[in-house]
Amino acid sequence: MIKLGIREYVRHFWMNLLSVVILSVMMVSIMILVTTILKQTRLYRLIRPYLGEKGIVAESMDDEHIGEMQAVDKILMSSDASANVSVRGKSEIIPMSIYDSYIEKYMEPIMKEGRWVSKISGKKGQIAAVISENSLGIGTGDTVKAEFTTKEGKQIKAMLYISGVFCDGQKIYSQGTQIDKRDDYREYFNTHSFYQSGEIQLITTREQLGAYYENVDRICTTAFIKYNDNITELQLKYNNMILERISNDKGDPPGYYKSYMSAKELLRVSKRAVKDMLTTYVPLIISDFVLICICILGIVAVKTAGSMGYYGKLYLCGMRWTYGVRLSGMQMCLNCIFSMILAFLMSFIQNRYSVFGRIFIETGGIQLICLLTISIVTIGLSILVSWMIINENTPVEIIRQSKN
Amino acid sequence: MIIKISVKNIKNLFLHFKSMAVLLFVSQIIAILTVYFVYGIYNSYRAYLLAMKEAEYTMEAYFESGSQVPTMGELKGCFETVLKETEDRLDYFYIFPAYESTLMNIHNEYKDGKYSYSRTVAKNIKPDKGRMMTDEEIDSGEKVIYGQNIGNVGDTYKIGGTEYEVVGIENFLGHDDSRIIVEMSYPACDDNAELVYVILEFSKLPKMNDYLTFKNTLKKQFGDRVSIKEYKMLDLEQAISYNSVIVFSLAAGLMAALDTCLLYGYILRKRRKQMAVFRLVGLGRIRMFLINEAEIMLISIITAMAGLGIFRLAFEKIITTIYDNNVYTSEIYLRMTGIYLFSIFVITSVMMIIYANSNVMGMIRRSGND
Repeated sequence: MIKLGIREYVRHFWMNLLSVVILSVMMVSIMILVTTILKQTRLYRLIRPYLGEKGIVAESMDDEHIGEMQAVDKILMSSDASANVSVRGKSEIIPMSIYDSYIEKYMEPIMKEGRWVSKISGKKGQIAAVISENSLGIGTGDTVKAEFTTKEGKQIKAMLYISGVFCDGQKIYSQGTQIDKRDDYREYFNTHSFYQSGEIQLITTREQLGAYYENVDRICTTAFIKYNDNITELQLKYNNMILERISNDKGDPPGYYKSYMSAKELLRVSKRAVKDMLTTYVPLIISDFVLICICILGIVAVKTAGSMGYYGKLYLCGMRWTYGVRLSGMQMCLNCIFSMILAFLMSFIQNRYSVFGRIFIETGGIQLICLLTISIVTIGLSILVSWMIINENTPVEIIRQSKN
Repeated sequence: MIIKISVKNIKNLFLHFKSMAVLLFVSQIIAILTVYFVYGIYNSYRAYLLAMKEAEYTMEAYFESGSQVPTMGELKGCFETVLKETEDRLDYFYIFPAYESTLMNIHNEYKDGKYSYSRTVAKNIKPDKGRMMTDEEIDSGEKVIYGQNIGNVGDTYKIGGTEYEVVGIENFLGHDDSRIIVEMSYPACDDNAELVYVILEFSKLPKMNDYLTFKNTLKKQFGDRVSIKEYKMLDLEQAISYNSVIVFSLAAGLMAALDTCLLYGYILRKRRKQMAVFRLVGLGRIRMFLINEAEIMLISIITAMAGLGIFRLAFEKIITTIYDNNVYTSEIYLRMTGIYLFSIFVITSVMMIIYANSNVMGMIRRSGND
């Protein structure tokens, strides 16, 4: 049976090849569309769980002050440390953003070369980090000496292993963002460009820092604070007093903390921004969906119509009539497997060699679900159509029709 | 006779392969809709990419009269600091001053301490009479101008207290426009001319220092009378997302094209027997080709017209509203439809050459195996 299916597959090699190419282009288009939408909404999805009816976006919080606040449901914030990096006789203090595992999921930078810290096998005793383009000549694979300052003011030494260099012009979660911007949630994240600003930046994860994380003196970034829904007025007032104290301690003008945006307002403007952005993708999604339906129908119809006559002859030679359904299903299964392989290969080649320049194309969970759905629908439809034709016609009728 | 047989073939297609025929027509309509849609998307996102790049490579300052009118004289006192800082990355600077009813344009370059006319802008200049200013005239600050409604070549034109010699005439805005537009050099511009705006155009991505020098220098000189457009940092993710959509649109177009090939390939395979029989009774290969091609082109033209009608009535307005573009002109529709029909013609011709084997017995044998 399997031998027969494979022989039948090879017999219609060119048509199957065309079907594989169509299916793989379909899959690639889905991968591009889904990945682009996910990338465009990543910052919103990062902060969304931390925006509620009650909450605030505050500057430069730290663990101590957060501990003092009342009725806090959850907080999203990153932290920055300063690394005094020595390389080839030169020494420079470079800010280092430290992402936790949640932030890392959404803020993994686009790499110019090398790999993100979590994608390499760790080097014992070394902290893996990625660096921006820089004037120090530090590149992928370099190991540099670094010194961190502890909270007590002491210096601790560490070795940094540079696993990669990230591209200019992308958003990072670091300190120094103006937070009086009210247009857009994206303004709460810095765009880093070494070329334009001349500033070097390191990024690593909490996991990489390990034991260093608790000891190193850190400055916290913009904090998205979500209060409990049942927070009282008194508790809100108390929290505002803490924010005022932090703001005054930093030397901000009096009342500056009042300019902090409420989470409710930020959620409102963010939803509008995301909605405007997604609106431009709706026609693309609809057109892709319609095209995919038509292409699947076309492939299934041509495949089934082309094979039925031959199944009639196989019946004459002794094959059970209903085995035609299995043969159709098997062939379409092979088509789907080959097309998925081809799609992954095209994605790999594109990411490796940037054939069409840089584009968003990844094989993540959602993309895989979409590809599997297409495959299941295609195989299912192929089986269904074959079964319908086989049920409604006798082999003699099929052979007679095919002769016409 | 060719058309007659083609029409008969189409009728038979609907009679004996109804579902396939309907699928073919619907696929073709969707394919042509995809072609128009993809064209619009491709152009829109290319325009977004260009606009983004322009914004990143431009710095702008706008002037307002406050307690004191901002003048060219004040600008000349501080502008060279900006030019020296940005020289390596600057393509040219554009200053728009005005004096009474005379609108002035300055498109100059600054390299190694010398001024010259912008080569980027000069490519689009075509004097109706006379010539453009030379680089020597610009750098030395000679009082020469070029423009519209300023008299004839060789005449003298007065701006403020300064007299300029007219070296060239060009009707920038058309012969019916009576506005006085003058192209001149930065050193020669009258100090009393009122500033409207200043734009720096860069050939290489400007740095933050360039922006800070530009902003701080002008703010120091003009205070509240100048507003500087915010500096645009390079936005890699946005650029990649635009590029991704452009590639997606190409993939969608390719999908539609391949699907059409698949369906036509099936039709042609089914025609093998008919083609073999026609060859047996003496029909020449060229006539056979024409019959099949006529059938395919008839179907393609009908579906193209249907697709065009559906797109114009149902989708054009939606696409132009969402993507804020207006690329769909009659010429574009004609061109896209022409390219589509030509592509169908070429692809199906190649497929027919492959399927219409010169060996008639081979064709009959292969048609029986399908």
